[in-house]
Amino acid sequence: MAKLKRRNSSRGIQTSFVSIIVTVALMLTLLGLVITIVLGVDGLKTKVKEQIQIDLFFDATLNADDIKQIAEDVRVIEGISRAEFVSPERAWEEFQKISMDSKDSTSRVDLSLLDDVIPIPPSVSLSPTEEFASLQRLEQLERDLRHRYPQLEEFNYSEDMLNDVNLGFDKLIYLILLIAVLLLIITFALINNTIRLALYSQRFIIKTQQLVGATSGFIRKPFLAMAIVQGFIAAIFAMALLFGILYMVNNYLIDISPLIDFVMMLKLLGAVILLGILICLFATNVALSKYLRMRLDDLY
Amino acid sequence: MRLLYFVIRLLDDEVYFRIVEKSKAIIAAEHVRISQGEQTVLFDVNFSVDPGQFVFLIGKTGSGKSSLLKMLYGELSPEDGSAHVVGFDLNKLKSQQVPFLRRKIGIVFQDFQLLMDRSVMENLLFVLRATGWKKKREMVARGLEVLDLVGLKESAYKMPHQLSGGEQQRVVIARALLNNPELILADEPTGNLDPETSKEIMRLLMAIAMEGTAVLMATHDFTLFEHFNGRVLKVENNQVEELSALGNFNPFNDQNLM
Repeated sequence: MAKLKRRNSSRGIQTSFVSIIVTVALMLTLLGLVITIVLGVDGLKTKVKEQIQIDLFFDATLNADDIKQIAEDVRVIEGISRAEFVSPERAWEEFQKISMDSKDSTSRVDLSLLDDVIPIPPSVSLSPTEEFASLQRLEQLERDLRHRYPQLEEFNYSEDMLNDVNLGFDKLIYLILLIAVLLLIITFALINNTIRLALYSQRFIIKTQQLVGATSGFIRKPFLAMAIVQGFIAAIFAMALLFGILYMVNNYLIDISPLIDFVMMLKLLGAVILLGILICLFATNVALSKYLRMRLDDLY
Repeated sequence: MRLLYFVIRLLDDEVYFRIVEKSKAIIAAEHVRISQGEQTVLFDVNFSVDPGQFVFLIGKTGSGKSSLLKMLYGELSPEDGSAHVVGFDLNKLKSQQVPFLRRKIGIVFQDFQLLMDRSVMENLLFVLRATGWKKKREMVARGLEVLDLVGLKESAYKMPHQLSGGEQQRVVIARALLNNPELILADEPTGNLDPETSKEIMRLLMAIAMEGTAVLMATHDFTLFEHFNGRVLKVENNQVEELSALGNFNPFNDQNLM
């Protein structure tokens, strides 16, 4: 009879151990996905930002060679990730391409009408670095360039695109972070409940320790150690699941490989393990504090 | 300290006796009020217990015996008055100090059973570990020592369910003795036992008192204190009163121990 009871109680502890790990692992997988999306979107934002194009046009006192030289020189200026010289021929080609793409065929211009003189002056095409891709920083960059090159006539870029990139991505990231916070709260509530049940099955041990004069630190220690182990194991399972999901998405849905690199995966691994351990530790500690504060009578 | 006492004695004999008596007492309660929630359970509680005294605490169920015991082991705090237990001032007791108060008190309660999933020795080692013992060899030696005191040395490696009710209760008493307590609090220690086994447990507790550990035992079994000598505190009408000072336990009259 007693033996049966004993086996049952130890099986009870095992079940709660497994259920905590399953709960935490599933929640960490979801959180990991959210983190992946945040990191991916952030990477995408950087890439898009660095693709913003600025065209520099100079007055007629500078010839093509001078402008070529400027394109070489500005490359080292802080805030510029790419700078190249655009010859009138290349500019015309691009202009033609854009015209061809547009359905309005009348917009197509025959060069012969212009006496074979390309109406576009040579220019420099720039892209800012990620941190300079904001309205303010670009204005600063413009002032800087005008100061260096008084012959600079135009500093052209699409303000709309800049705003879209900055605000659009930020909104998206905030939304995702909100989802992450909600997930964290749900995870916490679920784990807290599971751990409370696990503690309930240990109430005689806790009560014995309290009555004979164990310090609360001593009572907590094994539970917190267990929480760390659970968090770690759950994080490992979650990562396996997460890599599986990312692999499937990459191979069967959309190609996400350009957004994912080794460093990002390491960050993800670190974040998931840390989150797993912290969530378990925190939830266990809250449940334990509640338990240890309870009057001995209320334990039954 | 001794010099201080000497000076006080020179100044005032009465004050000296009050201070020394109080510092010697294991429990000293003066004008204590105990509440559970909103309700006052006991008020104007005055009593003291000296080392080696055996004190019965009698009263009906729900009279407040358990509340009084709870205050003594730091689960409830006194509302008014002053209370000292094994050198701790209960009015100033911080929650971090409660474990250290409890290490000086042995608790033998009806609902404080052995852990059924481990052997007798493991039960004792568990308590020793929880109260700061580190060396395994010393712990086992202490465990065997207290089991020897209650006459159960051979049962050290049995499981609790292999022992009879009386034997289990003796192990509980052994567990209470592990840290050389100055006070044993027993709440209905004979509650579930037959009269013969009850007597056995009583003799054991009496013998412990004789060794110098004060024992405060709550019971509603009035036949027990008719057979065993000891002071009797009665809890009734929210107050605690001493029944008779005549029945003090006499260690030289040990017919009860036979």
